[in-house]
Amino acid sequence: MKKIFLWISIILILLWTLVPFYSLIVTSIASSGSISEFFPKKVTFEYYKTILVGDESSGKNIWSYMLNSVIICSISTFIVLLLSVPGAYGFSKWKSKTSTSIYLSYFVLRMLPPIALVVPRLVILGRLGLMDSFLGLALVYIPTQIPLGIWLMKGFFDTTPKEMEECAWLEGATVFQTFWKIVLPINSNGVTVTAVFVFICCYIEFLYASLISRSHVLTLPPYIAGFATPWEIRFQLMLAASLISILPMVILFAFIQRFMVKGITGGALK
Amino acid sequence: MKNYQQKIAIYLTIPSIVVTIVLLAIPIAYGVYLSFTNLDIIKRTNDFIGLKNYVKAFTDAALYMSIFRNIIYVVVVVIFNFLIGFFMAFICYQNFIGNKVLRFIIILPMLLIPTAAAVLWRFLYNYDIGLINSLLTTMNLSRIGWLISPKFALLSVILTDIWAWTPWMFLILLAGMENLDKQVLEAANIDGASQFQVIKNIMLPIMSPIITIAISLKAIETFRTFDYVWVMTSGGPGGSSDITSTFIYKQAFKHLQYGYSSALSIIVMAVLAILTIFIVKNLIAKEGNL
Repeated sequence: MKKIFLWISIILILLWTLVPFYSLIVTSIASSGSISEFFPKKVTFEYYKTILVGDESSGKNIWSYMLNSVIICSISTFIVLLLSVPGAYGFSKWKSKTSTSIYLSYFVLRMLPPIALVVPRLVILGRLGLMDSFLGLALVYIPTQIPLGIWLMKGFFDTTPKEMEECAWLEGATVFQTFWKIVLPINSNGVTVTAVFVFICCYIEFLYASLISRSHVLTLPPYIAGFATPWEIRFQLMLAASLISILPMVILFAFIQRFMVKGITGGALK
Repeated sequence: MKNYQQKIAIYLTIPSIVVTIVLLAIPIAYGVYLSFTNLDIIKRTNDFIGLKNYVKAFTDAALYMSIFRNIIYVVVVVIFNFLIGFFMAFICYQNFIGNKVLRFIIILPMLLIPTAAAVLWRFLYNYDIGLINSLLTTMNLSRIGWLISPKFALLSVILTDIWAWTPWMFLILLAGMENLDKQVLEAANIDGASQFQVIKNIMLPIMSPIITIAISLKAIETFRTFDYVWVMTSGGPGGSSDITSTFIYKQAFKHLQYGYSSALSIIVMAVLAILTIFIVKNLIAKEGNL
């Protein structure tokens, strides 16, 4: 009885997760007549060709948009790490009421709805001439991701054994030397995990990407959504592009398997 | 040494604090300013009008409806995320062949970026060619306008959100289960407790800190949602699936009423800030490591 219950549950879970994925794969290779069939009779790879190589009219393919995404996410991640890694070390060492309240307010800032700042941000970026630019989007992502970087890194710094740092000070190393030569190498894992999570958060962002990136720096999420226009929805192209957009995510997730739970809760769990 | 070290630590935090404040405070301050103006791109007005936008907002039934839908959205998504996630974690906590494979499969939806997940379900729900309606017709049932009828649109989007985010809840709950003391569970089994009793009387109470954090984080995260609704229905048909974020978005970029939309933003931001402070202080800070 119990075994049967277990296997029925497993089958239910598999159906729940895999049927949509199956449909995603099958539809992206179904030719236009077979699009609504669960087992398409006519199969074509022309949609993948259009996505991967480029279509006849514009010649643009998915790689240029993916490159835009990667550039913006890399700039943002780099600056976020540059600010939040030393910042988190500071918070880990600075023990006072002030530091706790600043630290908690980071949490609140991060949780503010992105939509709330859309209008002022767009007006400001427009005035500065930063619309449709890498810098414009990075300026939005950096402040939203700094709190994430700080929590995650602080979690790693807090668990670093104090004895090693204290030894280094006794030997006459400065705080910066200790940080650079001892604390940071021990926490290289933590830096990687933080970088990957910040990167993913930028990579999947849709609202600002769709508003700020237009033609020059169009990123993946608005590119995928862009196959649906008020006049027609090109489902096969849209789904083929969706499937390919998984690639970077697979690579990123492979790096952080062990730290997944820590990362997705923003370090809020012990 | 200690004092010196504390001072250096304070200096290290300053750059991140300054950048965050500058990049967030400027737009917030500017947003507050805009909310007192009637900046309107179509009518070409830009004057100081005091509290008129706020008066308009508080008497706007559409705003209340969108907040109401937003609450339903969050409550339903979080409840089902938790139930399905817990169920999946509990199954993966058992011993069986292929356990690792099942775990990997469960996480798959996390790999899809939200826009792609929304797009996929938009296809599944499509009235003419979508998989769900094809299945209904093969079973001789009539098609349902999942995304195009006001009755179903919001629920359909909610289901997508649940599908896409359950892996997140699953991972956290599974981690919580694997930290449980196996001996306690075995003792309970030997004493003849049923599976249900074990879950209710042992697992849930011991896991309550982790559950509290997971649910609070997910609730806050879901309140901010935008992409699923926007990509799938754009808040339609006829505003029937509008939540606060899509409602504000439309005021700003469809009706181009920047001033009014800023006032709405400030209201929503204030409400969410209060809610978040409450959740952080009372739930997350107590149970977690903040």
